[in-house]
Amino acid sequence: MAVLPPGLNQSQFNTALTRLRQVVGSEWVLSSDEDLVAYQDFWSPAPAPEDRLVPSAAVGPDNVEQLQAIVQIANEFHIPLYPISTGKNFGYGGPAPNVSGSIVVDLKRMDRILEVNDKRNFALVEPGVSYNDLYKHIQDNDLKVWVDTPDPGWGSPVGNTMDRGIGYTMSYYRDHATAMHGLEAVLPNGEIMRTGMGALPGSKTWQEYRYGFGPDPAGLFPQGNYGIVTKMGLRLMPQPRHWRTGMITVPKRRDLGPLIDVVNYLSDLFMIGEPWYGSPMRVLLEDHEFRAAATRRGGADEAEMDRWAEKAGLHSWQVELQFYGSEGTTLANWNFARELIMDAVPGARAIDGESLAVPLTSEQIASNGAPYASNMRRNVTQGVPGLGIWKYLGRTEAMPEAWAKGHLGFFFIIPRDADQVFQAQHVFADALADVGIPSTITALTTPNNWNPFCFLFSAGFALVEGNAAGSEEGSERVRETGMQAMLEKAAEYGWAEYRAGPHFQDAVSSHYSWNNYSLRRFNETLKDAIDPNGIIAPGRGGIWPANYRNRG
Amino acid sequence: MVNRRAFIKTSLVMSTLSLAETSLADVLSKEMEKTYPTLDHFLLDQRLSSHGSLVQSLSKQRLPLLSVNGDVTDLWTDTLAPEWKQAPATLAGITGSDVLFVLDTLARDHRMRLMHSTLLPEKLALPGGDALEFHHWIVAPHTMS
Repeated sequence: MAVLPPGLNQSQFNTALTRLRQVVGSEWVLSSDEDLVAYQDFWSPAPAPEDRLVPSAAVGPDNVEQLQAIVQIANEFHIPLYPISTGKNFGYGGPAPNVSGSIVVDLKRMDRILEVNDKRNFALVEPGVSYNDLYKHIQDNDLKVWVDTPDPGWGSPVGNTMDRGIGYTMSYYRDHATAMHGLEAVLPNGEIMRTGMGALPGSKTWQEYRYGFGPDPAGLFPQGNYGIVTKMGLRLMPQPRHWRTGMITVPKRRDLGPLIDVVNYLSDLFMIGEPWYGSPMRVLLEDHEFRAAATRRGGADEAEMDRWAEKAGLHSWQVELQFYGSEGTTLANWNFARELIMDAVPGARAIDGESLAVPLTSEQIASNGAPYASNMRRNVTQGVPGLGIWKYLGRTEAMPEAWAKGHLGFFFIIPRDADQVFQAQHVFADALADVGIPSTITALTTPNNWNPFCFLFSAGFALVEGNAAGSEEGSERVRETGMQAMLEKAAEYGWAEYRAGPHFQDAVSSHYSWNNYSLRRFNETLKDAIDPNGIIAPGRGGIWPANYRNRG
Repeated sequence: MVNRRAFIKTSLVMSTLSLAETSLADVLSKEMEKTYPTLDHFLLDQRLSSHGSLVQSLSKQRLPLLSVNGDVTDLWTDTLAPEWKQAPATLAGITGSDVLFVLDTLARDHRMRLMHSTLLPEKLALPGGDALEFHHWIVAPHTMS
């Protein structure tokens, strides 16, 4: 299974491995087939072994000095490196490299929590720290801050941020790239650089004023390949005193418009945490006639959908809101939300959820005491990382039969606007139907509001749930046709994917083409200057160094 | 090192027995004793139809039993993470594939490997027509080459 780095013969590679062992110790240089199983992507949309991206080796540094030495060796031998934090970016490539033959730089041993400050509300961590680790540290030290966590807590705040991952609490914190405040990175030439106020020796505000003076290159590191991040600052949400929920329902299909407008207003005034949109009409999808109406090519008929809702005694749309603060402020904000929607939509209802003192007990987190069927995963709304999201899921080489439970991350950025949602519902479903791929996207599919100022419309889960990727043949069709079809169709409407694994990075990047790819050319110019040997994650984010660009 | 002959024998036995058979527990525990005198934990999934009888049988063998119900979070945070941070461990279990997936993945981060996995006949029906599968498995320290 193991392959050689591009352009190296076995003898050269053996010499490089010997040099690496001298840096980190033999125990932390992995090169056998069995060892490298841990660095495969078992969620790869390319199940055929010859299509999978595999490393030549993996190396585990314990500190920045060792990492610098690794980078120097990589430059000397022109070996591409692929850094991972905890390597849990499943659905987006996981621990596997962008280029076969790369050496994976496994940063798990760099797992120090350097500072957590619960008066000024920030943390400084190394890449090997997981959300579970940071949460435990906060709990063990009785610190009054929350970590905004994605669904599986085994990921790394650094790793997650480096792919612009998200969470579920208040807007500033759940957009992890926004919450990032100050980086330290080893550059491709082996130097260490600190961004923002970190460039001031003895700085007291590295995690508090992210920009420093002059241009701020911190934004080059998420989804980029300009260096290996060794420390990252992040803002932490102060622990609120109270958490309150409520659901707003609106009767008609068209009411989604004013509902979204009200939620946008509340969100942009920082009054609510992440809203959870949904529709109770999903239960009607078991009816063939309704399903036909909800998957009609070109979009559902609004009047027809309203007739179905009325006949079933269901509202068309709902949103679950969550409020953080004190008992009084959360009640005032909920009352304000209620007032706004009642003014905006005839027939809207506002249903009280729960009103709970923070921290919630484990029983309160596990249960759903709201007087309505809630879709919220409570632990993530409380900054409590967990592994429960994997219940009933999972796929590894040991369980290759679990095809239908895979995870294909595809989310398109669309505006927070009902007409755009309605359009996306039929555009993606029709695009997949045109290439013979079933999906679960219907006229009831609602977007996520993870990033505060846009919607993310899911397309990948729909592919997997529809079992389009549930077979070897299906997986190939997903990769070669389904995703290409959706990417091309999305671009026609001014939408695009925000994140992609190695197999799709170039395809996604190809649509960011404004002014003859001026953004990509800018990034490539930087890449060639900063990383002339092209050793750091070539191809990540669609940025290829000069020595790869002409390979085709 | 793992005794692969014992593993294979165990898996063959288990694949032919219904989990309702309490003799399964006896066979399993005897194999485990032979091969893993230092077994750290034995995980039983509460969703197994024979969970109760297995707990009774395996308790008699004094196996270090732990229960799980699909969500590994508390088990990981409270028990396994602190232990595995100190040293790799030997862990066996009869669980859903979801639990196995999580522990298999975490084991790789801690110098352990899934040494054996056998798909069992029992399945748990899930909403939407899916079914959760169950596995007998063993995770143990891996000697790097």
